[in-house]
Amino acid sequence: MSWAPAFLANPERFMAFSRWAAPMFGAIAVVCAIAGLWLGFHAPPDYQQGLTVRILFLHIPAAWMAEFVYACLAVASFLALVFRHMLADAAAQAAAPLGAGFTVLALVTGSLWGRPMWGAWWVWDARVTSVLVLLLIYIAYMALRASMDDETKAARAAAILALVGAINLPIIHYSVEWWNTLHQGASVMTGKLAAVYLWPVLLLVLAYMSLFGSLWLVRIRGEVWRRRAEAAALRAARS
Amino acid sequence: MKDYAAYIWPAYILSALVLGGLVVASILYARRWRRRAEELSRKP
Repeated sequence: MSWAPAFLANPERFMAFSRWAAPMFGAIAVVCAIAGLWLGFHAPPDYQQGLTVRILFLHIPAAWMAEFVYACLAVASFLALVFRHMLADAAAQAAAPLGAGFTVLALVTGSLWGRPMWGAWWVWDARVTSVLVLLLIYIAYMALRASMDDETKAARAAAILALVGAINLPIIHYSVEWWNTLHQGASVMTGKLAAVYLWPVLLLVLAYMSLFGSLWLVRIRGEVWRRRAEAAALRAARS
Repeated sequence: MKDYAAYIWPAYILSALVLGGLVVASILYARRWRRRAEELSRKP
């Protein structure tokens, strides 16, 4: 797969690839979401959580995506910072609002599950708090980019912020091991989850991931067009 | 379902709204700039 970044680094090749890849990922997302929701709504109540287990079918994919999208943003920021590549910068910029959306969903669905199970809408638990910090980093990233007129300087400052913020990813991941938290430990990848709950979770993870793939490509295409439009407007103003 | 419906349905409705919002916003953003880029490239 080492050819993939080099292949997609060419804007023309990227635009040709994303033209068919974005709808394809969108279609995969719809199919997986329908299958995951159908299985989820036919899953029996959990012996402890009852039917609130159905909230976890949405919460787990959103929480995974919140972290995954940030990892994509950090890698794209690193590539933009080191190689000063336009598409890498556009990819980082395009990922931020999507990641913020998934993080909001992780926090809100977690809160809706926590109220009946923990008896509280919010707890200052290490996992929950570190995910809130992740949302604040996403917001800070977008605010920093929007706050500077010079887009090159804004991109560089935001990329540095994104790389510094990446330290939060292992904190989120290991928070349930490093601290005594109310949030449960890993259950999906450790085989502790019964198959009747595992399949809806995995299908909805795939649906969320495909949706992100599709929307990321669409937003990067939008960024490419925006930069082309602004370059054309600048040329027109000079002539 | 009815015991926890007040928590389950808002989770599904909010997820649909946020994800739907991301889809619409992303498509509109890309369309707007595509049109603008094409308009400017047509100008002599």
